[in-house]
Amino acid sequence: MDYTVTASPPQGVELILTDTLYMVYKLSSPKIHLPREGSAAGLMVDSNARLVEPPAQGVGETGSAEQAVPFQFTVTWTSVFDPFETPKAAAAAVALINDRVRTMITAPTETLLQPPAGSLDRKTTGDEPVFKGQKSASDSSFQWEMVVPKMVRSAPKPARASEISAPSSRSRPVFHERPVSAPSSSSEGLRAQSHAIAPSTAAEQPIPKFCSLSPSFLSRVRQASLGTKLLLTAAALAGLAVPIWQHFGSTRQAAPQIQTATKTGGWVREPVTKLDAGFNHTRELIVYRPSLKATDCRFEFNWRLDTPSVGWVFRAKDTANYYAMRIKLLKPGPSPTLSVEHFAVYRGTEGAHSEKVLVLSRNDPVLHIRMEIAGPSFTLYIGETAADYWTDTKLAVGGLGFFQEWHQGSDVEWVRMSFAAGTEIQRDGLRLYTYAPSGGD
Amino acid sequence: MSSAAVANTIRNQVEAALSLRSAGRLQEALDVLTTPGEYTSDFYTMRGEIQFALGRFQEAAGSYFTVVASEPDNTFAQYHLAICLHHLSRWVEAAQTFQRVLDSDPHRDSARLGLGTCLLHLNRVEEALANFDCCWSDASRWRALFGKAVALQLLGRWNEAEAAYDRLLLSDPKSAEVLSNLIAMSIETHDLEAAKRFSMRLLDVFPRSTIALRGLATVALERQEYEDAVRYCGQVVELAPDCVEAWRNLRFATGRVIALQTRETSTTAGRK
Repeated sequence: MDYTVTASPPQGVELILTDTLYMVYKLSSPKIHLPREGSAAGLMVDSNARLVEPPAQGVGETGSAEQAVPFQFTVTWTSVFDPFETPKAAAAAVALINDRVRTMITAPTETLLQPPAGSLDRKTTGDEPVFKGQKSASDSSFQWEMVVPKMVRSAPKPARASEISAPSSRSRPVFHERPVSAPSSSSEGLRAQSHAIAPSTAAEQPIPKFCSLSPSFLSRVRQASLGTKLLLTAAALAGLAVPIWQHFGSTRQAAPQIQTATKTGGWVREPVTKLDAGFNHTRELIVYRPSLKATDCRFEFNWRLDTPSVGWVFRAKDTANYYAMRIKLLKPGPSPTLSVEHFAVYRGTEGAHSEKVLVLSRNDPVLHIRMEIAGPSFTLYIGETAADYWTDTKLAVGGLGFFQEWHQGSDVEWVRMSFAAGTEIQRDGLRLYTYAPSGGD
Repeated sequence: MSSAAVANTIRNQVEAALSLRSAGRLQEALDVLTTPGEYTSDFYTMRGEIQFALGRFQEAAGSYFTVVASEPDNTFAQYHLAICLHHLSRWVEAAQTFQRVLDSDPHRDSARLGLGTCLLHLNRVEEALANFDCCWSDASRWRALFGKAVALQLLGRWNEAEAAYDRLLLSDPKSAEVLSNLIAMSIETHDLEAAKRFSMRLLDVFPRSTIALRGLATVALERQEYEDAVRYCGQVVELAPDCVEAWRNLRFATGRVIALQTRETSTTAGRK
């Protein structure tokens, strides 16, 4: 490195430096070559160097003014709270303005709060990152996006070996409970230990076709070939209706019944293990086991607004890999206000939450929630209206279910799952599972 | 104008603003949202969003204030109001607003982190620590642990703070802020070896880090390695000409080097 000092002393420092050695020098050598008496030849100075010799003084006669002053080191915590954090998974916003559901807040909050480009510069020269704050309006580079989903289902992508187990086994999908090893303080250890369930077989990736009999669907059927009709018929037969009344209330109240239900077939409750000290173990997944190999599917249920929130998961490979959505009732009343939140948990790491607020135009005691899961595209419908749409490619296969946190229960009634034709669904799971309401009811 | 007409006008304004905002025309979108004759939360929320996006935090706070004044349970507006106040460094008000969000939604870690940072600014470190401890989600784990480490450091619980920082570095070995805080802590505890180690590490990540250079300069000065001190202080004044300490220490260290050289010269001459 070859430095040439071009800096000037700051304002107010000039006076301090008048009696000192103020020089322009090169730091090409870690050692300063000092001049011989009366000569500057030995000092590595620039041609325009100005060497200001200090007043003549003997060795050690530095005086009280020549004391080292401590540098100021400050403790900072700017990384703790970053309202401008960029969401890891881009979420498209949906504009909803109709008589059923309307929203005025169409952009995900994280996107909304994203600063204009360049406000957080990380210089490539090796400087420390410097937060420059918001730019003014004139140079704003915000790009807002509103996407109305057209529900054009993308072509299925082949299952990735990294995400699913080896295929070809026809055996019944089983949750394997991995032994939980001793807690570790490292984050790697955390991730490694946070898995508990995994399907033993992989699902195929058929052409996603659902058994919904919409007019457009029927018209397509009429035009389709015999083979296609057969395929669609198979898809229709694969439709799975599981009307249940499930109340997964507090763990203490409802857990025995859920466990019983698990034994009789279907639902598995798994805590999301967090071994990191200082963090609470608050989330549990309730996964419908026969759906573990599902790829493209539809998940519907009715949520009673008596409870503050309902959360569900899909593409749940295990407790460390799943997509989750949650609807919270922010404000009850004649026009209930809901927040819709989605996030991904991948390899044990929970991604950014994307949240938006919806205001319903009327107060229904029960909301029909429908989730369309097609390839990397996920669309949420509340009633018949698209309420959220997002994409993510990390997980291709996985089960459906619910999650709850902090032992907060949700009243879910009437669950239905429809799977794409060819999805391997465990047949035992097709029977009805009727749960008695929990002890609290 | 009838109330229905007013409502219709406002709705049209909001929709027009939405369209403009979607096209990235924020200022025009804001211009559309002139003061309505009748309150609607959508209107003010939208206005707050756009003002926030334009960096007009004071005005955005005003818009969100309007919403929460009539809808105290509107956590969306409360949260964004809190962010605005945080951005305006109004720590007391921001902390109160974050707390109101948490009263409605105790599991919202982002609000808890915001509250924690406000409490750190207010020197209510114990409370901040408790808040960071309450964070639960994986998404906020790193940041909550960082907040916790800072709180522990500010409380003088060095060992716990160091352990927390170590865990942070495991997941993000190049975190400049963690390394900077570790340098500060090492200097404060007079652990020169650690200060040097963390400074070198930070310098590896950011070769022009003035914090790392100041750390190295401090170590060199403490160890009376004045030639090194001259080198590091010289780099600091190059990178941060406003650093008064660096100038003074450069002068001091250079003086020491000259003095030592002079002493050596005179000793050698005396022997001859």
